[in-house]
Amino acid sequence: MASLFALLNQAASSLAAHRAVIGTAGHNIQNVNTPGYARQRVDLAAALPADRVGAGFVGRGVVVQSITQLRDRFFEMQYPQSAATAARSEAESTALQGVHALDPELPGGVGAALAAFYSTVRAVAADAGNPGLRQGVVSSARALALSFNRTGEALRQARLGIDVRLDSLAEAANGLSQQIAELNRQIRVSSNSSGGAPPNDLLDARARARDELARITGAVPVTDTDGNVSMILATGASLVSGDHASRLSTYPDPANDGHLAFRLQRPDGSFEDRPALGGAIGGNLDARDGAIKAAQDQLDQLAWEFAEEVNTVHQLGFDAYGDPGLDLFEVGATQAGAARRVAVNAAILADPSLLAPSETATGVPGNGGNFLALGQIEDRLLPGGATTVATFAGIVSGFGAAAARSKSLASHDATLLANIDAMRESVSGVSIDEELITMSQAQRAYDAVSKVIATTDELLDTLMKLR
Amino acid sequence: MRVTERMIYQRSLTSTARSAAEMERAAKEASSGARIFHPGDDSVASGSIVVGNAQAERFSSIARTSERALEETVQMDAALGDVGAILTRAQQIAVQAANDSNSPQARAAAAKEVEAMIRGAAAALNVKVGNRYLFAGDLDATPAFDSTGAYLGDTGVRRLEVAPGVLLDTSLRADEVIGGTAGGVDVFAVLTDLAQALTTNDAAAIRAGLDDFPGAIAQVATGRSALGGVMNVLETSIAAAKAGKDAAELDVGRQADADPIEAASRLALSQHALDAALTVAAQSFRLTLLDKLR
Repeated sequence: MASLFALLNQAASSLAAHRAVIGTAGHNIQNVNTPGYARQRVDLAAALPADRVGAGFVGRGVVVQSITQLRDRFFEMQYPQSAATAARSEAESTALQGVHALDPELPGGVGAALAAFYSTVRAVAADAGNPGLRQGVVSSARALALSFNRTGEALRQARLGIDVRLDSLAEAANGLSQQIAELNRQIRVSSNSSGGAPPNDLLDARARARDELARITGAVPVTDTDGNVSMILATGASLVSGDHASRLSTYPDPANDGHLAFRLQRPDGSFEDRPALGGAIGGNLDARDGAIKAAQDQLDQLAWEFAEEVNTVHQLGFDAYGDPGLDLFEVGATQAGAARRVAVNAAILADPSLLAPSETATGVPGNGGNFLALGQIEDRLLPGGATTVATFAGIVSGFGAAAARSKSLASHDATLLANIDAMRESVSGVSIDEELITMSQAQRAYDAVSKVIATTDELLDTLMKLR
Repeated sequence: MRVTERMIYQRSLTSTARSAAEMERAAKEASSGARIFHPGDDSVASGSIVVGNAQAERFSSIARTSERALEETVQMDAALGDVGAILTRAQQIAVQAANDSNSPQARAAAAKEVEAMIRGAAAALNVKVGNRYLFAGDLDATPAFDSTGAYLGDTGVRRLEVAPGVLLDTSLRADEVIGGTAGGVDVFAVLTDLAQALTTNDAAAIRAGLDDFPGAIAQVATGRSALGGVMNVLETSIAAAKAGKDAAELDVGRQADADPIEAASRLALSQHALDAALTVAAQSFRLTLLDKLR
């Protein structure tokens, strides 16, 4: 049978239990805005064993059985993957939406400059001896070359800008990998030292880092039997394995115009080049080496083929001195980078009389037959099967389609992520109203237990007064 | 489903951000009149805009060069008209001077008039637009004829694109129309022969030369007729090029421009949506147990 002192002890223990409930509710409320925080719940249980009293048992009060996090494992598994997918499409979309060099009505854009060039060529074809019109061709050719230069450079700068972003994402990923590895160790130690009680706030911190690392790299979390979370890439390479974190670094890739590639340095010193990275890194790579690179390559090809076509025709003509035509455009020896390099022949720039509109050496200065042929390039199909203007329109359309696709995908993925986040939040999130009710409930119990103490105290007092 | 504080805030944030973005977009379209600010806004239209703008510029340049060519052909026609009038007057002089009753003095005076006509015809044919002599062929930096009517130009003919891919000869070969090198009559030779015959008071030569005038006049008239054809084609081309330019610009406008009524309507709609989202958000925050427990 329970003694009065035992009753006091029980009550004290029960007060502590209800205090824990209030404390946990308060902790929940204080973390209502903490990202990745999962609400905690105090599991109360009747203290065992009960005291036997004759034919029955008298209970021994209440104890805290455990303080657990409320997490749904299904949503916890879904969230990092959804976050990675959404981050990938969002990063690609953001990168592509930031490129305005191919806007269809951009003043001084390649499309407008091509049309203006052909116009001036047509004007000289009709009046080849007119020095003002010749100067017009030189000016429009220069404007066209500069337009190619600007557009090519803008696309290159967009890719370089993504390189800078990739560098900082790699650093962030490394920090998170190390954090997860360290948290794996701390969680294991804490759990062992507390007899298996979950170190909830450490688990929250790890979950936050896990989600963020998945968002940045697309790595998938895998939990082993010891409770460690490893982060695995699509190729099977691990960013985090237990207590060990690999390191992502970047290096200029000569095969990709010097743009950054990734290297995964494992804890044992071995490394893997170009690991399959997803998430925000993957999205930025998709944009850099996908739509932007395609536009850059196509623009180079257009500049190269256009300059070749123009030069071939221009060489067939004769300048105002009766000499064969020079190359009108200087475009270098290779197609790669042609858009950024193309320029008007410096000699022609200095002396428009070197333009060669005449079909014959004796037909100068009035014959514009060769420029008539030059103007016909506007209708000629390039090796790609389209005219110069249509080829540029195709570049704009292709880039636009990629940007629109990524934007639509980003919106779709964001909606999916929001749904999963809402489902997860529905389980793990903090409701202030709920916590206030829990606090009131615990407070009421605390008050009642206090009454038990008071009653027990009165009983002791009664006993003490017996003579 | 449990609803938490973060869900309420998140929903409020998402819905207000979405409404604000839609409002911003609608305001941008309504204020700028454009609907495409990035190729991704409408990839197909973006490509079409590039092509449409190039077409408009091409038609515009065809119209410009054709207008200039038309101006030149008008000048050439006027010059040939002057030459035709000179030939007609010279023919009249020749008919009068062929009469044996004419005195040597009258023929000498007529010779002076014909010599002046030769210089006048050369001056008319040295018509110049801008810096070029229209009848000089490719050698258009120098006069086509000297004062005696000797041709200084070449056989070059100007050719022009009058419609996409369609070329047209827009000048005449003066060596043929005036010099008769294609089996015709040398106009200046006819005039020079007449002047010579008048100067030498050679009635027989004057009469013999009379036979050349109808051919010379017809040859010049044929040249004018050819120019008339060219002018007709150029006028048609100019009209067609301007229509093509307008059509191309209209098409670009259709694809690139925002419908102002639709944009204004969407702006109003998105403003209402934002207002509703803000109201809902404010209402959501108002209902809390915190207030009841005070």
